[in-house]
Amino acid sequence: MENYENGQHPDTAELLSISAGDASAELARHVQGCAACLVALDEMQHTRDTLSHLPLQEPPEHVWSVIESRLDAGQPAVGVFQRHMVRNLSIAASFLIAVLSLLFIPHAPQQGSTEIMSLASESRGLESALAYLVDDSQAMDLDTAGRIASYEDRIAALDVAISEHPEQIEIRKSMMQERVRLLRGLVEARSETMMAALRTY
Amino acid sequence: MKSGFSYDVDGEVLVRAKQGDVAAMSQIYRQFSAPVYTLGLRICPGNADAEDVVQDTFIDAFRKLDQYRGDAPFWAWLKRVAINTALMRLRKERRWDSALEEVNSDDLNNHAAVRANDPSNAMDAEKKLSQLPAVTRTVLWLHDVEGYTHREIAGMMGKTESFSKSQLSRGHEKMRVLLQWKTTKTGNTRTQQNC
Repeated sequence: MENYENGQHPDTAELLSISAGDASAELARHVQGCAACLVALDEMQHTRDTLSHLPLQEPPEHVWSVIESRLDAGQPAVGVFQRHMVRNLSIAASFLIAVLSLLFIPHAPQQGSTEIMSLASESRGLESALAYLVDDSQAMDLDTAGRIASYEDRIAALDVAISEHPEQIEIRKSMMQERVRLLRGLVEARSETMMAALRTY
Repeated sequence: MKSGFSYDVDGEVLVRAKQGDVAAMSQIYRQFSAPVYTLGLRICPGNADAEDVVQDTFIDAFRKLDQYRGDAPFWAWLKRVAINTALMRLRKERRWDSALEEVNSDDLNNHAAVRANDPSNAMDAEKKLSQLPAVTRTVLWLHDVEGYTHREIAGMMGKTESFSKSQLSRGHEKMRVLLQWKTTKTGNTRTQQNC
């Protein structure tokens, strides 16, 4: 990795290791004698200084009033959930049971394009369920939010990949299978969040 | 390092706030609203997003005040609440995966070329910072301004230390371009030059 004898310069990550104090002796020796690397280090420090000296900005005056009214109202941290979804807890609970039942419907093995159509239909069903499951970051912990974001991103990436293989049935089928699997995971994660929020009421 | 958070809070004010005294909460808010808002702007650029970060941070912090045990300064605890709130928002807005929003380096060079002819933008580091991908910008800010280590950042973001290091490296490379410094001295890849 390190070979600065032939006019090679360290990359940015290696230069940053100098600032962090964990550079190798060879790297430190090179940088000490290299005007270009010293300039690069100086630029990095200048970036730090520039960012560190950006002025603080004040939020608009009305923000405290909003916070105060939310505190007064005792509004739980599941704000969006409360605002947009639950009017009637029994309806919400029934709906949730219906959504969860989607996850356990058995699917008979099929072949080729028929299976793709079946998978597409299952995808649509799961997506319809997702549309009704509240996406409220305030109601979930960071791990759950990360799990959900990961499912969403993988599904988005798969959609791109699927669109790039419209004619290759086997590839498309395996991607659709993966998509359904991810959608099921996403529905399950969202349902868990919704159930946790319901339990707080 | 200068993040604006590092101020002590009067112990009595904290006790009153824990008991639900709104005047004490207001005092804490006045003391920290600017650093929280600024942090919100850096991680989730946009006034509306940053306002939401402020609201949710203080609501969350005031409701969890009894969990603050005093083994670290209050400002450090509040800053972590603010960062978690902002990161949560990034995830919810699906701006989390840097790979999906990678800024093309040619675009950055074009930006720099345009801006080089526009001296009025020379000092606009804030706007330039906001042009970075969300994750890169967040790591750069948390490391270089808020003073967190790569291990701490990795923990907050659910990533590895290597990820944090590589994002910091990318952040510096891109800021060098955006701030119109020369990019050919060492660049982001090894170059063959004479010292």
